[in-house]
Amino acid sequence: MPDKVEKKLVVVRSDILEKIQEMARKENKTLFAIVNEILQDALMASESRATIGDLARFYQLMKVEKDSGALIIPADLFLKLIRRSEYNEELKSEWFLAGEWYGKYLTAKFERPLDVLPALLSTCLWHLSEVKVEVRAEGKTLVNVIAPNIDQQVLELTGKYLEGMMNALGYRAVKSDIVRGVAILEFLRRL
Amino acid sequence: MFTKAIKLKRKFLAAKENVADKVNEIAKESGRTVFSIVNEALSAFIVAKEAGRSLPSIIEEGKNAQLARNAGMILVPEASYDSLLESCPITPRIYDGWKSAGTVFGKYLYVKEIHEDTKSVETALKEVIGGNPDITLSEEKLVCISPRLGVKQTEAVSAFLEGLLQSLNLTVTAKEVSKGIIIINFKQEGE
Repeated sequence: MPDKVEKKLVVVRSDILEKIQEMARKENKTLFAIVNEILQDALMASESRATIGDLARFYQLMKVEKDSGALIIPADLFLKLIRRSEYNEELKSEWFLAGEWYGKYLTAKFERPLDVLPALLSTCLWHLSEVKVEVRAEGKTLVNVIAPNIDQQVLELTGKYLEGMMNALGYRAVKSDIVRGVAILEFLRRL
Repeated sequence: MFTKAIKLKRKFLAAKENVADKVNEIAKESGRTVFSIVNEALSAFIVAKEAGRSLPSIIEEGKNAQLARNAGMILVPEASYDSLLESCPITPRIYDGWKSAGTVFGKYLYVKEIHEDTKSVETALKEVIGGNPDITLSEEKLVCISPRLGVKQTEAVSAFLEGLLQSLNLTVTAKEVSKGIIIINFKQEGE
């Protein structure tokens, strides 16, 4: 005779539970089995000092980035390449165009791209210490970047990238103030 | 002004006693409620299923991306990276730079104690090498195939992989590199 499994009740949001019930049905599993599997996975994630929610959010945002063609490369190598290349208007324009493409990609993927932008930028532009997107009245949007440990050229190129992205989202740059470690970008919605 | 509080409906759910106890323990340690942890875990499962993935696989991917971030890598737009690479010849110095970036990443895998698990190393490499590569690591061979990698990118990745193998005390015995394909044979140091 199989051992009796001791059970305990936990409280859960009913809307989430309904979705899980539906998924359990599709997978031909009992709700009890699927919930235990999920909780065990969550416990495993917590062993690495991360919450399962953080990892799932990180995965979602990274997926958007990777699907847009972003690459993960060693930061110091990237800096070496920039230093070796000719740092000129052409290079800045390439970054602007890359940002513009990314903005179009976000427009195609999300109904309200500006809503996902703060999470996307702060998670995926991880070479920056802080990115703040603030949507203000009268079509004004501010993007503030703080990155004290980053090379000035990389910060300038990041600024161009953000300008290109905002351009594709229907905003023109009205201010671009980039000094050592800080970038203050101001955009106005095009009429 | 009136505000309307949204009351979330709750339901009870049965879980294995030992799993529920562990969740309870983690809730206490992290200062959270069991309710929020369970909801978060179930929501992450929904995210995974909606992406056609399993929960452990997105946890793994999230962890690997965090691993890359913590190992000093950055996300860059592929087009900008390609043009940077194209404008710079791969000199021995740049090649060595890639190799040492691989060494650092290998050491990082070592510190994180995942260097001995072949599957984990393959997944981590898949995460940090662009172009969605097919990577196979066996006892004496590392194969990386990614038709999307250009000639210079392939060279850069091969240097990175060579550095990584060396940092894991493996000696490269033969290397074959052509656009999008890297085959590296190696042996344990001292063999």
